[in-house]
Amino acid sequence: MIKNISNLGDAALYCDFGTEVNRQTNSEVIKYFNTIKEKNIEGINNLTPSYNKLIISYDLRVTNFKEIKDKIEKLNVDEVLKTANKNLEIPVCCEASFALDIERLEKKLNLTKEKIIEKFFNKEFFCYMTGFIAGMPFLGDLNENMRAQRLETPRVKVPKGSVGITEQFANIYTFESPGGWNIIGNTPLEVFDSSKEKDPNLINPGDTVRFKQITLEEYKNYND
Amino acid sequence: MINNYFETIRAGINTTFQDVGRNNLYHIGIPFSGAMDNRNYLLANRLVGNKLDLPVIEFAYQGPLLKYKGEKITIAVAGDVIFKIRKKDNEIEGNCYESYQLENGDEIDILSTNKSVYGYLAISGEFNLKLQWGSCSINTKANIGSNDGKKLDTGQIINLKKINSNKDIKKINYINTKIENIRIMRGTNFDYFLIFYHR
Repeated sequence: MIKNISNLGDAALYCDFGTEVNRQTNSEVIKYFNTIKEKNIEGINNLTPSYNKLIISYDLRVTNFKEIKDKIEKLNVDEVLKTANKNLEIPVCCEASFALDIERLEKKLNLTKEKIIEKFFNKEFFCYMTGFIAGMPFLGDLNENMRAQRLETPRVKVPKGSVGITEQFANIYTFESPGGWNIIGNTPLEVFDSSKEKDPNLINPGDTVRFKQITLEEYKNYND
Repeated sequence: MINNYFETIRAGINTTFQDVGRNNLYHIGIPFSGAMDNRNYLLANRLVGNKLDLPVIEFAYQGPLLKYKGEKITIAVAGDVIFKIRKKDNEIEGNCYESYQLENGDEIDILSTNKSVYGYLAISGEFNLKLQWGSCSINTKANIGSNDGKKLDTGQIINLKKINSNKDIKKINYINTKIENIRIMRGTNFDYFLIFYHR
């Protein structure tokens, strides 16, 4: 449930679902996000869901804080939604030239490379949110013994398709971008496709994801 | 039909097509996009008699040097910008917020912005652009928008799909807003840093 609604600047509502980062709280955020999206409320021009907050931006020429707050408070989020969550499998190659930080991680986590890879591929992940760069999914939750801090000095360029871990999350760099996650592999899959305007994201909040290890050969032939 | 186009002899530092942008995509990591300086974007379109939501060329610091080929067209620059128009036998020092006519072979050389980062070039017509989510706005980080989501390059052709017959020359007396006070609203974490300050 929303614990508090306040303003964020003059044209957005800040819905606070708490401070915990877990699936239960995030599922509440996603439920509100999907319901508001489906209701198509006049004046709302952007929704930004995160782990435990939802920002609702609106056009001041059309509506105002009080009006939107009122509508959100009266919203019935338990109606059955059409939105179906997907179970996805993402191929990842952990060959040395892709696994940029695996040696660093061995030291940080005090685990062997084989153990890190085994634990990573045996995990089912849940997509909390997407963003930072278009389509980048934030996937949780890694086991306690797999949680590492970001790189002390972020990379200026993380290659497109890189799969990284930080704290309880895994993610996929949908574009070449600066970034500080610990990179353990690379996927040949297009996780974001802007030519599909209706559904450019392969992975959406609420989806579950499993990674599947592939060889360099399979990686190279993947898009043939 | 005559092919009307600009050729970029120099692309400039960060030259892109922009319009009002796109909404409702924050949740997948795509921001509003659109012109950085909305007021100057609207003024540029108004000065050439366009609908206000048409795409314009946005540039930062150093703008493009463009050679025009085609039928007569009206152009205008908005912002605080130093630019020149080179015609066959003379060179004109351009003034912002004033429209000019370009003829076949003329060049517009946008040298630099002055007390602002961004400036806008509008034409009395429409660039031939591919839209994404209803907007031409180029987002170079995610390669979204016209020109394959990339900033303009030197030596490329910008085709026009339409020229408006409007040949009126317009001029407005306008000074780029001088902001002395920035008004803010308290955000959710307004007091967050006060706690540390008082410690």
